[in-house]
Amino acid sequence: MYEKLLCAPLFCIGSLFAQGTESGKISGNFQSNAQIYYEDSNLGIGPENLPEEKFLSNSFVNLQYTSNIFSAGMRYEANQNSLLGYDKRYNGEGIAYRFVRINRNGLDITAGNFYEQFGSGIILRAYEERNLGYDNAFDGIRLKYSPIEGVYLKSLVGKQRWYFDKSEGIVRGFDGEISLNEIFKALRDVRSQISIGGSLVSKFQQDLDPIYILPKNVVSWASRFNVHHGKWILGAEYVYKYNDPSATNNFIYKEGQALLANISYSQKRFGISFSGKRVDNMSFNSDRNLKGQEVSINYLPAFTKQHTYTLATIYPYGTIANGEMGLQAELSYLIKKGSRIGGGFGMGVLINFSNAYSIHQAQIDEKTSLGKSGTLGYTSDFFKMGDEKYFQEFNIELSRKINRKLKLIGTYVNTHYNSKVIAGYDYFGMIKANILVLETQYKLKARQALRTEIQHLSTKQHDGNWAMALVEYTVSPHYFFAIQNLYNYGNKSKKNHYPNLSAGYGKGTNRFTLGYGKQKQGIFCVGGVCREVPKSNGISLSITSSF
Amino acid sequence: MRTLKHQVTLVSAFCIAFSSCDVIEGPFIEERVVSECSNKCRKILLEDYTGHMCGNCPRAAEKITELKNIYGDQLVVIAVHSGFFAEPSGTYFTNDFRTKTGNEWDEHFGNSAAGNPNGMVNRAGYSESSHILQYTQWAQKVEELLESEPKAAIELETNYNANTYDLTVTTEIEILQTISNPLSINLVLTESNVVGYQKDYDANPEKIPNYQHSHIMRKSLTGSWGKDLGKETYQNRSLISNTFHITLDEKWLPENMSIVAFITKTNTLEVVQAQESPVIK
Repeated sequence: MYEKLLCAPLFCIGSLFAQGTESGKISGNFQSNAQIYYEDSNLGIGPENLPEEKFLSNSFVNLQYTSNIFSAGMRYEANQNSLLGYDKRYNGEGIAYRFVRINRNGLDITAGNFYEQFGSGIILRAYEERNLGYDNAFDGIRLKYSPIEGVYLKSLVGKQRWYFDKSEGIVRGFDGEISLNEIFKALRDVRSQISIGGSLVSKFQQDLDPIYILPKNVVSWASRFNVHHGKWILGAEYVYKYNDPSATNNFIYKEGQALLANISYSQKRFGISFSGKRVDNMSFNSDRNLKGQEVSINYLPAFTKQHTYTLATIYPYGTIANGEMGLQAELSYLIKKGSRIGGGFGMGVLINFSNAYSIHQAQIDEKTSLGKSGTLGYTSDFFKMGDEKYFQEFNIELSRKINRKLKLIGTYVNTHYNSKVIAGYDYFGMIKANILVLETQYKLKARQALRTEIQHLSTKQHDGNWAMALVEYTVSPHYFFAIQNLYNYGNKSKKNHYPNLSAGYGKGTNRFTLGYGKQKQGIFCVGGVCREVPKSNGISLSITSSF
Repeated sequence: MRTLKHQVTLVSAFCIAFSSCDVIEGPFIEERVVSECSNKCRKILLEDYTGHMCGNCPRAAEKITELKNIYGDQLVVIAVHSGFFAEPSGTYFTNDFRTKTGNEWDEHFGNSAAGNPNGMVNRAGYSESSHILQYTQWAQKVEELLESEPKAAIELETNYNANTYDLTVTTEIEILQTISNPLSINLVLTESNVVGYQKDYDANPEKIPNYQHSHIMRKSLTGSWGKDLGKETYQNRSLISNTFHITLDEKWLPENMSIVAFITKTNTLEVVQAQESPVIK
């Protein structure tokens, strides 16, 4: 269990430092989300589906003391009990994050909890995404050091957070990055900025399994480069992982590999980027027995556009760590103002295409089925794609300011979504959906604005067609009121409405939001990491404050 | 320059220190010899929270078969059908294997809310919210718990009347180490070889019509939380006897049924000892 009493002395040390050497400052923030749940016969929420507590809340407060060479912080969490959709193992209260950090003579030492990322994160990334209820922070020691200008070293050892407990495995990591332009004087004035990097991550976990002979130490290494040349950026990272049989890969002993590469070009009013990835058996957990991403050491990005419009988020892509190949291309262009199409203010065009496929897999021999536990699993041709399409999306967004008061944003999204592979939905197979959104932003008066959204999703599969409308009225900087309704009119079994009313008040750094409405069941993803959201009906209250 | 050399050496040493990697060339699977269990050996209770609509649950059932092959009678299994995936659904999934006790356990321990399949091994870790284990974690937990000596032994005597469907079960508990906790005895009926629909994401088609369901919990004889044995402390070598009656449902096949008994600490619900006996010997 996390030590729940460590922070008091921690802040005493902080104040001693402050008194002895220099003055520091204390900062922090607070957030509380609460909801009262009601029955709803239309949504099929009966008394047996309601949480026993009827009222649930997730709250936390962050406190941080910072001076020039010393900082210390903590986060107290109180989930009494966790909101529906968050894992019940988050129920409880306690200090889930605390650290001290000392930075003297170039050596930066963190003791306690910390978040970290090596390179793009495909070998190591610890982060928190509160909306997902995701937190895989390390608890241990981290050192950062720059021995000479242009050389940046990081090392860490620690265990990862697992709800209010810690994961079994110990993670050891080292990362080095070299900026060639900073090291070599001859390159300082060169237009190309080149950096190279490498990482080594190892995890240790006892082998207590009575069935498999498991590697206690699993090592993974990565190398990367990044080149900035004028308007061009080119980068790639490759990671290799030695045998790591786990619950996620069904206890196969195959090595893991992943490659991410991207190239982009941007100039005034125009930008274009391409990125590609290949992931093969690259789930890397600090507890081999845990499926999913709860204690992931690494992070495999989704390489798809992160949508914000409600109906465009119904079918989000979640990374398939066991194997996928995909690419993404994005083009942005601002059509000149004064032109026929650009009008008086110009028109923004954003086009994005992404896809993901399975990787090629072949049996290791005739007798062994693909992916069989306790074997090498399969062989795979690095450059060959599999036959199964996981995801494909094309979207285009046009934004144009009509006059000083009115702005329009139109979006079209075409999605192919392999529901069985991504979400575990059966029956529906490949869901093909078209989504149209029209957003208007209208300035009523100096401090008053009206924003509307009209959205439509059409599909012949899954829940069928959806329509949505939203009106939001803002009186800045203090108030907002919003009303919206989602209507699943294409659903063959039940055509449900999901209305929502919300109002917010903010003053200074405090903000209060009160809402009442219905929540549809679905999957919520951020960057390829997802959680299920259950249907609900109730009153919600959110309070945020920073200081 | 000298400092730089030192630093490079340090960094290299650091890299080498934790770059040690265990590459397993094979064989990958351990050769396990199952030793015969003595009369009063420790037995572990595995509760598998499952449902016929849960497409990943057959993997958990396969794991149970794997573990039963290793541990034999030392592993006692109850399959608790509960939660969304256990609800009757559509034309095919019409069976309802849910029970009042299973639903109450599921609500209390939060298993189906954490995503099926999962389970509990002796309900260990309940006080620290680490009781819900994925099926890949079961083996390790069973192995760990079997390392400790049994604190009690349970003997079961069954008497079944095929004409009236009445079953009488006599339990005799022998305390093998002094236990300073209130204890409860729990008895549930399980049935195996029940053929019905099961979803399996790895099968093609996914709907398997003739799936053999095993260890299905049918009913509890002692309510959801057991019968308290009435004391705060149980001295070594003390004996406690109880008798329970139940009338079996006509649809159940007694020859495929077992009685599962387990002792729990009344306050923490942690399982102290388990035992299983066929209804018809």
